[in-house]
Amino acid sequence: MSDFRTCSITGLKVHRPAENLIKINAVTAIVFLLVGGILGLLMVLTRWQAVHILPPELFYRLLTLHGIAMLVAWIIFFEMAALYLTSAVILNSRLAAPWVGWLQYILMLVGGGIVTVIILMGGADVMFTSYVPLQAHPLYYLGVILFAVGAILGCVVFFATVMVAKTEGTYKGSLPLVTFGAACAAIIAIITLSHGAIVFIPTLLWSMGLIPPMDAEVYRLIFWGFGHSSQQINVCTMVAIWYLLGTLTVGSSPLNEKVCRSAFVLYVIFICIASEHHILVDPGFSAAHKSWNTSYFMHLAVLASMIHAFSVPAATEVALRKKGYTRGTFEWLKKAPWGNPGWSSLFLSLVGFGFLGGITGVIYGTEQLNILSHNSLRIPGHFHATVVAGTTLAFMGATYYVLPLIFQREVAFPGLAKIQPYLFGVPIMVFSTFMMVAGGFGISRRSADMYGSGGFTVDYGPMAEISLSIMGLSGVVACLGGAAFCIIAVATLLIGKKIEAK
Amino acid sequence: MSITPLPPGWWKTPMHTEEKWWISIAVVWCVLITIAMPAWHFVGKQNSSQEYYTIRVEDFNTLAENFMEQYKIGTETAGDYEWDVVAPPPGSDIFLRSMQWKWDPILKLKKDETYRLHLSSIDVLHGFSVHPLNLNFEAVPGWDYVLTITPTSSGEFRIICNEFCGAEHHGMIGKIIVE
Amino acid sequence: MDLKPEEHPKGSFILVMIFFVTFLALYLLNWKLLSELWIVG
Repeated sequence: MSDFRTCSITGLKVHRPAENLIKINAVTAIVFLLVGGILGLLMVLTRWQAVHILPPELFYRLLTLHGIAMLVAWIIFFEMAALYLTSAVILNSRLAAPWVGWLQYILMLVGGGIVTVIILMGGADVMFTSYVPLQAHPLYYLGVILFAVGAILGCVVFFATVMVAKTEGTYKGSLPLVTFGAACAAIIAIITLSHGAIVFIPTLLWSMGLIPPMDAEVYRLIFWGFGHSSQQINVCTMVAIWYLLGTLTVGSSPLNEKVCRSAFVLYVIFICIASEHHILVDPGFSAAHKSWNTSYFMHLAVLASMIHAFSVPAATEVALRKKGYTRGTFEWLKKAPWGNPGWSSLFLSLVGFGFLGGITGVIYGTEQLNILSHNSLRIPGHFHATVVAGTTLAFMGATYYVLPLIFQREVAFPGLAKIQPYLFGVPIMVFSTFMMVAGGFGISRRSADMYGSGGFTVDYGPMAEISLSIMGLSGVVACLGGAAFCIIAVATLLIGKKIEAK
Repeated sequence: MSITPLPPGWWKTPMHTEEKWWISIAVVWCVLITIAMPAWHFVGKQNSSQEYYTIRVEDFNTLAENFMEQYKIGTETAGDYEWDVVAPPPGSDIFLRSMQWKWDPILKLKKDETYRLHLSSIDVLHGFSVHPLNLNFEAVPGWDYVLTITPTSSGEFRIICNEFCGAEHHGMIGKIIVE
Repeated sequence: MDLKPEEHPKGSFILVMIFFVTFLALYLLNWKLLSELWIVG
């Protein structure tokens, strides 16, 4: 009788406690994705003012929840699953202290649940950023703290498992690249979640009336030490998954492990200090400080991304060329497995994250260029390209392998699965693009009514209106693509054909 | 493969031509975009101000009120709101107060003249966004942010609040007039 | 890994160069737009 089963497809030994934790975190992640996605639909139908479906109070409330459900819950629950997968499963090892893993899950679930309920009850109309002096109910901050502590525990289990695998000799040599990337993500996670605790604990005490409020600018600085760096957990994990998908879809190997790993290390060293691109047009920090922080550090992380931007496709190109697709410069691309949702997710994610998200991120995050961008719709346009077209789509691609390999079920509705990444990825990129165009006309983010009400009104002109309409339409289609993913995932778990394992 | 452990010696793998070229280009680019920011402080006319002071909310409010009283030339109403219209002399210290959910006052400035604009909030964070220029700065309670500003175009501009500040955030719209 | 001449990732190199040129163009365009704003500092 064994705590392990052997995967009939990869030959890897899968530790059952690890498998259970992967499953429950992945399923919970997809539940939050569904919730966040429905909220996203409501958001887009409100910002598209021709429809304007939600009244202001509800818009602000649900926008707060949309941010939490997507940026925090969906993504971090999925990353916990990824951490258990890349440690225990890829290294052929048992998971260290599974009970701590369960503590991770329970804390995150309880924390996430408290936050969700408090928001819906109207106790936290403060946005995901909860900028002081806006104040939420104490339970909101407590919920976020519990969630963050749970996530830190997940990272601890990851590292402990890697150490166990090393000492028990379940793998020989250096860590596989995917695990290395996940380790970098976990290091960033521990640092960034600690920032979250540092900023939320005094804020919690303030909301309980025990201490005076923090200086508004100090809060912004530390919050974004949590807030942006936590996005880098997503970037690191996404890049690790890109390499994983390259291997799984076309059998690619990184061209040069030294280059890839150095790029990951650049992420770890430099991204954790990079929070000031959120406060470039704020008082309180000198220009030297702002540009030093946003550039010397950020641009080294940008360098890392640019390295991966070549490395990932190049590895797949070499793998495809080795299969014989050597005619011309792009035969490999034409002959790539575009019908494999793992591949199409990979490629669309690369384009969405790199082209749309990356370029605009550097531009908007440049000290002076931020004057043109801060708090306009350009900003959510940028991060929907990175986090949704980039990270979320890559995670969806990975799910198409997790379902048969871990859940041991064949993907349901394979015809739909084939087109799902296109149905989601392409409209999201159109959505992001036109959101940014609309932002260029001065339309602000987080506003329930861009025309104003009660006093002066604003006229943006027809080009802005057209941009918003395109944004609205593509946003709706993207939500359908996201819903398709959730339907496929849930259907697979309920009615997918079981794959017999040894 | 990215999912298999590496045998020792992987560090010594030489880079391929394409990698070397691309990484070189990327490094040069990153250096250039890093230098661009301090460089623009010398050659460019739009920068984030380096003049800011901590200030108590009540004190900023007093300064703003005194300013509005000193240079008031009239009032304007729209909807439920009424604003002072204020015409300060060029070169002076001018104050813009933000609060839930109003920008005070309506400033009447002269084109191509320079002013020291003191920007702050007396309650929560607000976002100072001049429309249709798309000029954006943050108004922070407890901080007096001094922007040395020269309007180079004339007309009637809206000040849109673009930092979420509560229930009527979307209605928080002010006006600046440049003659 | 050693690559034969026909295995070199030329296509990816062209793709990242397209990315780079786009980056350059959008970046410079934004500085141009910034220079047309009111003078502020």
